[in-house]
Amino acid sequence: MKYLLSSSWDVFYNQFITKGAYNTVLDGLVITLEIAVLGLIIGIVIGTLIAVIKVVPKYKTLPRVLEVIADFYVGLFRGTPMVVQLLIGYYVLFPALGIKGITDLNIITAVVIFGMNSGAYVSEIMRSGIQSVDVGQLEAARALGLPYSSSMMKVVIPQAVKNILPTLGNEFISLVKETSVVSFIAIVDLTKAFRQIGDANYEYVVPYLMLALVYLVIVYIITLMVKILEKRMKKSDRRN
Amino acid sequence: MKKTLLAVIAILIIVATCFCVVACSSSKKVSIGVQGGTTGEYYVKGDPDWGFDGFPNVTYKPFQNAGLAVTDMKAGNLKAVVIDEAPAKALAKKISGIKVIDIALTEEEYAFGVDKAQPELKSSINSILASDEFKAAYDQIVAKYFSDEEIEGIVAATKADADKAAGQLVVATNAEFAPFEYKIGDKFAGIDMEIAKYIADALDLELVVLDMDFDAVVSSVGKNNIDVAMAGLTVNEKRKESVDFTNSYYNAAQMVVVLSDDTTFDSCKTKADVEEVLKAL
Repeated sequence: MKYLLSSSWDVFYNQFITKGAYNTVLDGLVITLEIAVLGLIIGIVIGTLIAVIKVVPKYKTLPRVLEVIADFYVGLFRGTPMVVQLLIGYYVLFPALGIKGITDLNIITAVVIFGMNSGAYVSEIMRSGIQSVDVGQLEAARALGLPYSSSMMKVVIPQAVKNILPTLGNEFISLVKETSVVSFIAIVDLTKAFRQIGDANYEYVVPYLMLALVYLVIVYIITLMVKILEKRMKKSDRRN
Repeated sequence: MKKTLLAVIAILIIVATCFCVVACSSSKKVSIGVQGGTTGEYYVKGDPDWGFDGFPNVTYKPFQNAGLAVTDMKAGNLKAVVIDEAPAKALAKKISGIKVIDIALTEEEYAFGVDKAQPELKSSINSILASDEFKAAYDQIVAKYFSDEEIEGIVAATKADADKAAGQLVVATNAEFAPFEYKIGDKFAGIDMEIAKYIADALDLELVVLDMDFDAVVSSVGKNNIDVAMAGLTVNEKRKESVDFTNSYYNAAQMVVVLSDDTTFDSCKTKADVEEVLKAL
């Protein structure tokens, strides 16, 4: 094992530093983070919208229709694998819509698909957050004369976000890790970059271990960031 | 609380914008598609070990197989696809609206990669490849796959069995590379598969074909009882470190595939012309 590692390490070092493969890895790292971060932002926006649609009182027709659409959306994106969504998005949907000729269209596709997929998951997280806020908060806001939309935006959702922050961090972490499948639509991300290093010499021990390490470090940093954010938001909290 | 949240969102948006600017400001506007792990990828990307300078002005996009790359080109996202000659021509026959620029960009030879621990297997394959009966059969096989004849799959998918390792010839391949190896229904077909069957029959072994990513074919040999890689494999010094190559059986080349109405390469006569056009994209 020791021999295996040391010989593989030399091959890896040669490929990574001397031959300059670190450039590909850095590009791949940027792309991985880009897809995960932009995906999460799109996901939070879509997720919040869907969550609100789901908790709005259903006295009128419009909210009912919207809820059917939202249910369909969530079912669609949670019911199919990420890779399938990427393949359909890139090879079927975008060409059918006539979207083409844009530089890095595959990265844009990945961001949009990851955002929409994450939106489906975030909507459920957000809904549980909204429902965890005491109904009295909404009643009080309404009694004070705030319209439904403002009492949602200014009273309920901020408290909900505080409750769901750990789960949202979880979602971000799984999003970062899920981006490892984007090589299906010809994107050279972190995983593909390390795979190429392995392929160059058919020597995979060190590249794959390093790949795992890089993901581990990214996830650790995200965990730290979420913890700091949580602490900051707990300042006015009596629960400690 | 709200301020913190706003600050976080603002930071996220700033980071996102930076990413966008970095991504969009890249001067490489033209993309060329390749199949990941093939000679074409190293040709476009540039690799000193393979002796290719590459084309720094183009972005290369590595696809799972050439068919997906061509699909993406037809969708309007790629300028060209660089792939081995035979698959390029097979694709052009099946998919309308594309054409092959019939100029060889590389000179390479296909051979089978045998497990280094089995030199006797390599020599017996070599002696089969050199026999007159094989040469006659080989000419028929190649003629069949380059004609318009209806082709049927020949090798059923079976499982490698560790207990029967001595009686099995376990072949690693990537069945996404017509006409050398691909699937028809639930059976494997292709020139390599016909040869594999010929060799297995001659050695009186049961043929087992394992389908995997092309990236993994060479490195899988010697592990899990895999005896030989047969995947339109170009002989190359790097690969020689992992497998023993048999004598070559096919002369291949990389070629450019473009859309039928693309006239960029029409005036090209030689390899140098094509490379000049590629560099000027």
